[in-house]
Amino acid sequence: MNAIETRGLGKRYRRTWAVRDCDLTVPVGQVTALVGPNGAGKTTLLRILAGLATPTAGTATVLGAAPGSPQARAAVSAVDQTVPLYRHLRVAGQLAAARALNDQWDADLAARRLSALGIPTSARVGKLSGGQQAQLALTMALARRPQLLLLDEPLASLDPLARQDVLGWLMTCVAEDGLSVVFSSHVIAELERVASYLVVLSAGRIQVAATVDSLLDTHLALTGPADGVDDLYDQVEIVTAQRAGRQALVLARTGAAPPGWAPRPVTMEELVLGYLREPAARVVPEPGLEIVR
Amino acid sequence: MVTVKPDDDGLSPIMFYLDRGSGVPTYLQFVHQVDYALRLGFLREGDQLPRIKDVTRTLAVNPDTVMKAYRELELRGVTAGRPGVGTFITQAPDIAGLKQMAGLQKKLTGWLGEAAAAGVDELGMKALFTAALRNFNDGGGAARLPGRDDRDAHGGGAARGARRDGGAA
Amino acid sequence: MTTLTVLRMTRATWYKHRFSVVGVPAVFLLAALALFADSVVQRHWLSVHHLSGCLVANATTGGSWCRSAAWASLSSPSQTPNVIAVAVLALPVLAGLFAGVPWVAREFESGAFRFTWTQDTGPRHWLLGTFGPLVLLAAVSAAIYGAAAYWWYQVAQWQAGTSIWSWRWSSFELTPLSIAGWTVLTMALALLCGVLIRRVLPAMIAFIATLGACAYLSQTWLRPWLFGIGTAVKQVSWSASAGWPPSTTTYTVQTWLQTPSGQRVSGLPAVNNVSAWIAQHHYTSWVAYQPHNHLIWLELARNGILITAAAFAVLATVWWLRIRPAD
Repeated sequence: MNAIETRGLGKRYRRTWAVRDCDLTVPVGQVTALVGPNGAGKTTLLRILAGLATPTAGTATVLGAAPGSPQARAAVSAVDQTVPLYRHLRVAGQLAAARALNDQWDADLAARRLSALGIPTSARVGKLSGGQQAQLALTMALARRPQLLLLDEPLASLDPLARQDVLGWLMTCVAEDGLSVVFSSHVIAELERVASYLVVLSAGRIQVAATVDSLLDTHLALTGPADGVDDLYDQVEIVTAQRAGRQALVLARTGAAPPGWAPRPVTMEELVLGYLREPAARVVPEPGLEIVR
Repeated sequence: MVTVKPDDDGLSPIMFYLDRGSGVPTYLQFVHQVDYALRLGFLREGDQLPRIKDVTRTLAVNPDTVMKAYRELELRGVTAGRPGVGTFITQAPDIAGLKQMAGLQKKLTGWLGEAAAAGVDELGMKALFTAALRNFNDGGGAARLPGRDDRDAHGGGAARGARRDGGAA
Repeated sequence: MTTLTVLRMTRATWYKHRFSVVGVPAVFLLAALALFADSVVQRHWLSVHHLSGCLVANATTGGSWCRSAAWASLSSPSQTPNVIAVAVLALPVLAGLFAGVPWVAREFESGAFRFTWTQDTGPRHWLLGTFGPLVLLAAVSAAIYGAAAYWWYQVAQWQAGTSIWSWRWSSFELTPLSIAGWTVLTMALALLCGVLIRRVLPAMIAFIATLGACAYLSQTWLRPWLFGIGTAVKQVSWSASAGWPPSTTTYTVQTWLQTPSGQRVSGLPAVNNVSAWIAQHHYTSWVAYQPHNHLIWLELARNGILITAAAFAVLATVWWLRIRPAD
């Protein structure tokens, strides 16, 4: 079973398509990073997968079920960009409401986590800081014991230490419970160590959808003469090339460097930035890689 | 460089760290750190490596990455995994190897002295060494240095295969 | 939905909407209390002046006599009872406006639906499970309120100075069944407006507009149409038909003349002495009316229609949520 499967998924708001022609197949157990410029459609895609938006075209399934269906809702937790909470309630009331709304609820986990974070249950949710609200939302999402977690820029409001702590907790859930995670992120630097699957969205279309390992294996950073770039286009598949006087830096989709070019393993940061710079470049998912071992 | 104190039960003599700016893949950093610890005697035969869930919690890395590192070490014959228990060092570097290393280091120090005398600064030395190393590896015929990154051979599939062993590689 | 789910939903409702869940019944019951107290005062006045017989006497005979006696104590007939009657009917509207409409519209407007919609209970179950208890509570307390209003109007209507007539709109509407029916409809319409419009203020405006249209339709079309169904027909003398109805308990639907051969004639002959002319031409005078014992059935019918309309509104809401859950 795949955590996420979309075929030709599209969503239009009035005249503009927020997402279009999205074909995705993400296996379970992956930590998927959703990357792209603002307005690329990340939030829309996540909302469709969470069942909060109806697609205009195409289909989507999460863990084999239609988004928003009872099966999907039972297995999928989502924390929207707006960090939706009942802001007029106290934390205790919010937790009690959440418990009432869910069949599966780990009250112990929620209580332990909140006390470890120092969030008092008598505080009013609306009066908590942005970071604390995000922590609360995340805690409740995980107290539902989901199989798939959808996070839309959830860690933006957290300080560096809290961010590290939350990521650590998420990674432990992935390790111990086999949780699948999809999170949108602007912090490219942490992608390589946190994410195992990468999806790059650009202007509503999927540019890259592949495992991090396959991407790092199939790309190289090449250094060489600036005037050799034009010839290089015939030799390898170039994603993006930057020239500066005599030297050129090229991100190429290839296994070996052609003569005259010095190869270097590419970092995730370079790879993502390279693709973002060239919206026309695409990595089409290879069917063999996506299917589970 | 970021180090975060792990709060496991002190099962492992070492703790991993991340060098975020280095550009070296995370799993390789772990492999090198184990290697380094072995050579310096921090790790001995029979020692347990940090548990995957402890590493993921404290360093916030994907468990696949840790498993990939442990799988790599296992393939090199350095470690062996005991399902449900952990990953343990099986092979300590032999004394002869250590002696060889000492000799090589002495030669290297001599070379460094020559380079310094010729007016080459630290960056120049690094560039010379890196270029020579690359030429050496690309030269074909010549044996590859032990411990070279052979990502291409041991790709994601292998690491992912060990995924479901209850978290312990 | 299992009983357990319903109970959990009720608890979730409590946590989120306790203000409405307590407030709406409280307002109804307080208003009922006020009406009850006012009527007690009036009835006490009646008994002090030995007019209690008015209440038990047949409305036909007791009406004008009690009215005169009541006027004797009052300076003049006042419209206050009718004004209050309108105010009484306004209460369900306010309940729908301030408790019903924001229930869902606020959920959308504040973005909280993005939390509620992603929990195990889906949007539909949440809506029915949490809004349902409110409607139930509102309907029950509205029925009590309606009973108090009915009891109050029995005496208070004498102040208005007009003849007592159980078919008047205020008598018809100020009953437990009618007020409960209107309450259920206002809540259902509030729900529908909130779900369709998803912004509190515009939804409130739409709600008022829709409800106003329903009230207008009910008053000007629905009731007259209903009253025209199943009428009894009777031949009366012309002089009697002019003064029809003879009692305050029947409702005249139509009067007409018939030719000797039985053909219905519309309108009246343009002569000075209609009565003589009719006798001369052997025409008969007829009246179609609703006897008093039809009133309860017509009330049931009209309020049944209100509740059916409410059911349709709820179904429309549920259907709309299915095809367009959030965005």
